Amino acid sequence: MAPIEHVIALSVMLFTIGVVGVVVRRNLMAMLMSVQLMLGGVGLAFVGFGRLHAGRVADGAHDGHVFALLVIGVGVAQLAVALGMVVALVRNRDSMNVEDASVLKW
Amino acid sequence: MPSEAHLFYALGALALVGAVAALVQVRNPIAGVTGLLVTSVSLSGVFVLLDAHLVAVLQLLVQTGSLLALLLFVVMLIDPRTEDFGPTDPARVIMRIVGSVVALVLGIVLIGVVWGGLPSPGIVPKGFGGFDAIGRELFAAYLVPVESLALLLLAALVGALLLARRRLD
Repeated sequence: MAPIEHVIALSVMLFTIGVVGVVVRRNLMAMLMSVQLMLGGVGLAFVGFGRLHAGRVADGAHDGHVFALLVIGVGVAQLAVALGMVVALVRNRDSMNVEDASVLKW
Repeated sequence: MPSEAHLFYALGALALVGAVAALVQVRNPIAGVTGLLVTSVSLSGVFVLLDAHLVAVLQLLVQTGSLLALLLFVVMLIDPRTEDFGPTDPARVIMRIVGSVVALVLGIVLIGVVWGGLPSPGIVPKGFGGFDAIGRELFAAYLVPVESLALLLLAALVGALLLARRRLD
């Protein structure tokens, strides 16, 4: 197996691509997908560090796995609400651009 | 002879390609979702290589299966082809460039922090990453977080229904 550094590097790259996507894209759908990428990177980091400490800690060896599962669950909840918001945005503004939904913005 | 390490690098490269495709795909949103799908499936393979079998299965089932099907549904229902990279106000463009550069620098710094500083992974105990071991931890030490997650999912379900039904003014 490759060293854990490479796993963490992959997770950081996925997270960075996600951050750039959220910063650059203005399409709500694309921003949503970028957030999913970030969550995937975070889960990978948790599992990677869990694998790193697999043989070392006797008790609670699965903390990383549990956190990755919780991250997946929170991601699903976030996506469900956000898709509802996408549908509401398209119905009311007839656009996917988040710049059109700026009533609450300063 | 391909080893586990080769498989990891191949899956990692596939995940990055999918992620970049999801990021730069503007004209065809279906292709963007497909990129995300590639990333998700490759990540699940990486989880298997890291002996996280339950997480890999749940990633495939939840993330790849239901969640991306949902995304595809919404993409197909409402045609989101209208947007590009937004209004080309120069101040906004500069803000985006600065934000991206800061994110890239932070990523490089993060990789630099862990690079070379980690010990090599230990030997995996028997049953590591399986249903039995994780289930025991989920419903003993992590009972409260798991139940809160159940509440959160319920709230998200109700919120999504409300948001999708009502017409805002």
